[in-house]
Amino acid sequence: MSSLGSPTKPPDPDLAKYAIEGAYADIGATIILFRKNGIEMRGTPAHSAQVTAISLTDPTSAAITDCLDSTHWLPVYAATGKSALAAGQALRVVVDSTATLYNGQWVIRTSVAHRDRPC
Amino acid sequence: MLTRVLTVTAVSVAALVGTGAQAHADSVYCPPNSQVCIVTVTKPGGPGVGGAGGGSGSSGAPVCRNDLTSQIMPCYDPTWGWWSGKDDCYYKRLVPPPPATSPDWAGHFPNGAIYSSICPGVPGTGGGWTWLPTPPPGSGGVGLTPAALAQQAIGTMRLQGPAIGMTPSAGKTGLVGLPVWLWTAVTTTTWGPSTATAAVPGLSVTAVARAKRIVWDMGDGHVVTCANPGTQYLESRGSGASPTCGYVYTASSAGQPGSEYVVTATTTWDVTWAGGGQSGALTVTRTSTTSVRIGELQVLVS
Repeated sequence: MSSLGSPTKPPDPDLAKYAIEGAYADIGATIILFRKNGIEMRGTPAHSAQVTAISLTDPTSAAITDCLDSTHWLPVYAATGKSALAAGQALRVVVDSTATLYNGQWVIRTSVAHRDRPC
Repeated sequence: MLTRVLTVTAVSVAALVGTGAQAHADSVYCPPNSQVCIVTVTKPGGPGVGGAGGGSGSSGAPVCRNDLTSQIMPCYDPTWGWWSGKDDCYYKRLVPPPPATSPDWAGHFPNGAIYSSICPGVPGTGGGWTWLPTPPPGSGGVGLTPAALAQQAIGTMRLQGPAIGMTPSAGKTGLVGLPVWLWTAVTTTTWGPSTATAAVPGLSVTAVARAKRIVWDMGDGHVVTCANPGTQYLESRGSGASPTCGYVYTASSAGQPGSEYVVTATTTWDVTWAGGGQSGALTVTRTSTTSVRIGELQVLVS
């Protein structure tokens, strides 16, 4: 998530270590667009994640449900400090993720925030 | 597409003349599967606040265009890979690849490769993993640099050397000790300023050329440099010297091949260009030649 920080810095090289496939692509696309627009995330998110299912068949994976609280983790224009947050959004929403064993490490493969499911 | 190119051109021209680009539009963007939506302020064709920025010189990296967001992207990014204009995504081959048993191979192992795609601007998804038999379009390509496009723009200007005007005029014989006038007819191709724009989808570069000086090699070992186009000789000027650019021969051309001095006039053009978030400057030279016959008075009367 630190990769969503300052648009003037290169993305966190460790991003590929803990996110792959769709989760990596979603964050990557977001980073690129935030940077192009001079937007950075400021603050810290709060989580209350639970593992809701584990599959031991290949590939080993786990389902994670989180109530992500971004009340204190908000997009701002780096140059002006003005908020880039669009109006009318819930700031605590359900996020469903899947983690998988990949190259011997647990990584997030998909992560979908449900903006229509406040929590 | 035409509208987009024209928009980029307008921004480039605005950058050249030093006025700020005013065009912008607000829109709400929801990053793929992200928890927040943002308000973006878009400057069409601009480099973006976090982008490379303008004035980075003539050696800039090749740039590509994201048709979905109307933004200029680096054609290669060390983190995301090569830009594919076909679907507006970055592609990077997975190293190491997923194991042969992975469903990501879709049964193709060991043929082809699996790529990580990053698609900024595609609604609803940021990309993912894709098996491809061959690298996607754009991979390993060199793209087109703004500097290269500037060269194309300069090429269309058809810059020339001086349209040489000279006393004595061709076919006539001048005299040692008498003023020689040197000038060029002033046109967009001989003195400028000349402006030209070259564009490809997603990139437009505008160049402006202005002649800086003309170096006249008089053919007798002397050189005259004039930072002006010179003054055209008129009969009413009599035998006076040019007020701006002239020369006086001190020896006859009798001993020269054809009994003529070969006069070589070289114009140095200063060219500035801007576009694609970059700008640069370079010089171009163009040469014209003529010949002149110079005699000595004593020879003529003898």
